[in-house]
Amino acid sequence: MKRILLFTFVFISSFTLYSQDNPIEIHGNFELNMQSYRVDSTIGANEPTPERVLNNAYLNLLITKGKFTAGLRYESYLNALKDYDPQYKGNGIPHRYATYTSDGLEVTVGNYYEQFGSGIILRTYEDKGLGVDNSLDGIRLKMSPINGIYLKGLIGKSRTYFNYSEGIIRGADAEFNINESLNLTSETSYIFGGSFVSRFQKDNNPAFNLPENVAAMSARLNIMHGGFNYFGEFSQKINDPIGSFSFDENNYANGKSIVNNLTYSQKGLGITFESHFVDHMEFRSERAKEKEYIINYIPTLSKNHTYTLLALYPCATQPEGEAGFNTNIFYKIAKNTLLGGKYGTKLNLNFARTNSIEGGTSYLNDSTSHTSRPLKSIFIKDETLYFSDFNLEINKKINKKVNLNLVLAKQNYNKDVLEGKTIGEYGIISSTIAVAEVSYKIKKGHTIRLELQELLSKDDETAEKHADGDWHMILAEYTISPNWFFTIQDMYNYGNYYEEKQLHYVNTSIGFVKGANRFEIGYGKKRAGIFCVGGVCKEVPSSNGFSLNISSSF
Amino acid sequence: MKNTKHIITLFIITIIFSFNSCDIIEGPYMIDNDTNPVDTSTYVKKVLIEDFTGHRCPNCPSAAEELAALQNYYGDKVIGIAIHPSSQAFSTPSPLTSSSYTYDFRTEFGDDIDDIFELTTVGLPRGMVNRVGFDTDHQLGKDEWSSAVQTELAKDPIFGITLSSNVSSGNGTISVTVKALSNINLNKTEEIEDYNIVICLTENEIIEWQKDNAAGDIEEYEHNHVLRTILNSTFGESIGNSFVEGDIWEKDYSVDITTLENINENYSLNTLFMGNGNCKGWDENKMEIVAYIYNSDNYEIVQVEQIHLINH
Repeated sequence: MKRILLFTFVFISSFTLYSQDNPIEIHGNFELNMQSYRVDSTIGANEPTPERVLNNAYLNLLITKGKFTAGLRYESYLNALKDYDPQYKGNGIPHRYATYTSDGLEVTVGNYYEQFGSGIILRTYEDKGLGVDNSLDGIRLKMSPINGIYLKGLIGKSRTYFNYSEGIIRGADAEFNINESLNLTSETSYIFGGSFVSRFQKDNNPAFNLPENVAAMSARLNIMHGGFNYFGEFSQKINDPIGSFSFDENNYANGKSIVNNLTYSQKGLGITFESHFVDHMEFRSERAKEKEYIINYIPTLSKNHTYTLLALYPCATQPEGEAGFNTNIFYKIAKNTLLGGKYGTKLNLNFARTNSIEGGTSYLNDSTSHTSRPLKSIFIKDETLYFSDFNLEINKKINKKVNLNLVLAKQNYNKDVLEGKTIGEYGIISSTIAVAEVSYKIKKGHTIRLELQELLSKDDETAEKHADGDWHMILAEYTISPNWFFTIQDMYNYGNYYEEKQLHYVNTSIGFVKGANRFEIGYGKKRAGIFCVGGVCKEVPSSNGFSLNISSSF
Repeated sequence: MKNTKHIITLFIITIIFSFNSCDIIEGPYMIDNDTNPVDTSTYVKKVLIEDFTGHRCPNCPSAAEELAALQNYYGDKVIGIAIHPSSQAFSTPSPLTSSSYTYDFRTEFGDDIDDIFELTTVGLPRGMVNRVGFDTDHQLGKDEWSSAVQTELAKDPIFGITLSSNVSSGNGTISVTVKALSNINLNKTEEIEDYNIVICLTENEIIEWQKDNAAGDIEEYEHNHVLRTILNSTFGESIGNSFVEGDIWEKDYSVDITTLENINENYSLNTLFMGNGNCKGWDENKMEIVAYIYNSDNYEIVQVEQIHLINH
């Protein structure tokens, strides 16, 4: 082992020594997530796991020399963790690329992640937590011919697990920064952008006339003036039926979306207002409707909560039809005032709401036609509520040792729509949530953090099934920086309608951090639930067992 | 100035590219609506869709519709079997104290098939088209069926199956004849794999509850192609691995509906979670015989045939 290390050292240092101008740099990181599974019928984990232990692991390697970079990722699913799609199976190097820049032209071959504008017509990204990786494999060119103009062009196939989908994706994006390009020094700056994405897939359906080239296009505008920042994007997607043989399943309507975001900030005050209208905008790398094929992204209109009970009922974006807004007001009460105290007090008021669009998703076939009207959907009183969240967060540093964070929220969650249940099954669940977090610095390097959370929830009276009801949650975390942390948490579903489901979900973990390496061992029960990042969600099954997480980088 | 020229050129290229890669389709969208065409040649390639479904799976009726639409278009060349697997709550019956969803559609055969092909692990509805793609790409969503069906139907048949039934009042025999349509040799260097034949009984028009995304709880839903039993074990029996064109393989199978019903009842009562034995009431007039031959090396189904159990 020592010899190998020595050899590696000599090998790497020889490069760094003998090519002083552009040394070769090798970086990487490694991650391992292992979980054991026990049958626990009390929490609904009824299916035995034949392997007993499942494991996901990744290694990223990056080699850079001057303007050249090459990278790869080795992925190992033996077998994939239960909350992953089982189509992640086995080992392989599904991600590899090389890129270089020369005289303003950047060339990438292999796998790449790309986003046009806000991502509404194209976004390929990776999120290990969600099990999403839809990187494109192909060619991408980027260049800036003159100051302030940025062009991108790409062609590729989208990754699905260890394979690539059938459709070929072509795209181009141009951005024009007026102030940069004309050397303007005015107070107001403008950025225009436009993008185009097209998917080719052969029409092999003899019963229907299907488009082989399906295009989506968008135009965007960004204006900044002083503390104001406006971003607007309008997108459209041309007819994109799923290619079914059933008469009613092929929808030939165009999709469209309108995004309007306005933010204002000054010292001590920030206001954001985001809104969108989305209709029939799910864009897939294949006609057939499978979630893993999605290549675009519609940002969610809700605050991304980190506290467990606040995120128990998360908002999932509905690309086939939703209208909504998300408003945030951040305000800092100044230091040395009555309410501000010695350190000031931070307030964040948030109100988010999404609902259905007027008359539902646009629809067109030989016998029926419906086109949604964005303006009408603004009058939300007639529309079905999908999600709403009204909350206030207060953060206060009491003194050098104590920090306090309080959140009070009122949420409505349309479980049927957001989780794809039958309409009328659970209806809209309303909950009131309170969170208090205190962190206390005992002495140098020793901090204890306590979270108390409470969720009071009301079932929909018109619904036929009962949701989970009320929850308590308590979390205690002890950190000895920089090396150790200990956590214990208990979620207690004391208000469940069914007595046998009034359960404790206790989780404990111990973590050790040393330099670039991090180890964490945990044990506990996890509830079945919905896990979301930015409006993209996945269902997580309940589990009982040990977990081991290791991450390291060099 | 030179730069401006470049930009204009690029811009023009982009525009041309854009208009060329966007097909706007004008109606009529449905261009061909063949209804149950019948191919009169002696043996044609047919394709089997195994639809994994459940009576409490709200998205499943749309998969049944897709199967029906494919059968409408391709006629008797598309044959369906609906499997209600037990490793998803979608197929579990409600307790008998409730009045809905009390029927138990599950069978040991369906569960054994699911154990191998693991369709329930990816969520329902899912299906297999001739089981092609095993074991990575065989679990197809309903929208993926149509292109798989076309690929399969384009292949030449290597076997022809002829079925005849002599069943009445719940008893009788089924005769199966297989004819090799070309010289076939499955001898591989290391091991010899066989072609296996499987004889199933399915039932149509079972009127029972079904959950549906749009319509909610449907009391009188028509369940079709429901797998009832397999006469020669879940993975069938060998018909050999080497054939000369024209070779014939024949076998008769006896059928006793009551005995077969009892096997399912026994499985439901003694093995299954929430099994209630409520799985009888088979109507022989609505039953079909489905026979398929598959390659035991890769499970691919190479031919399938179907007839009514009772000659109407």
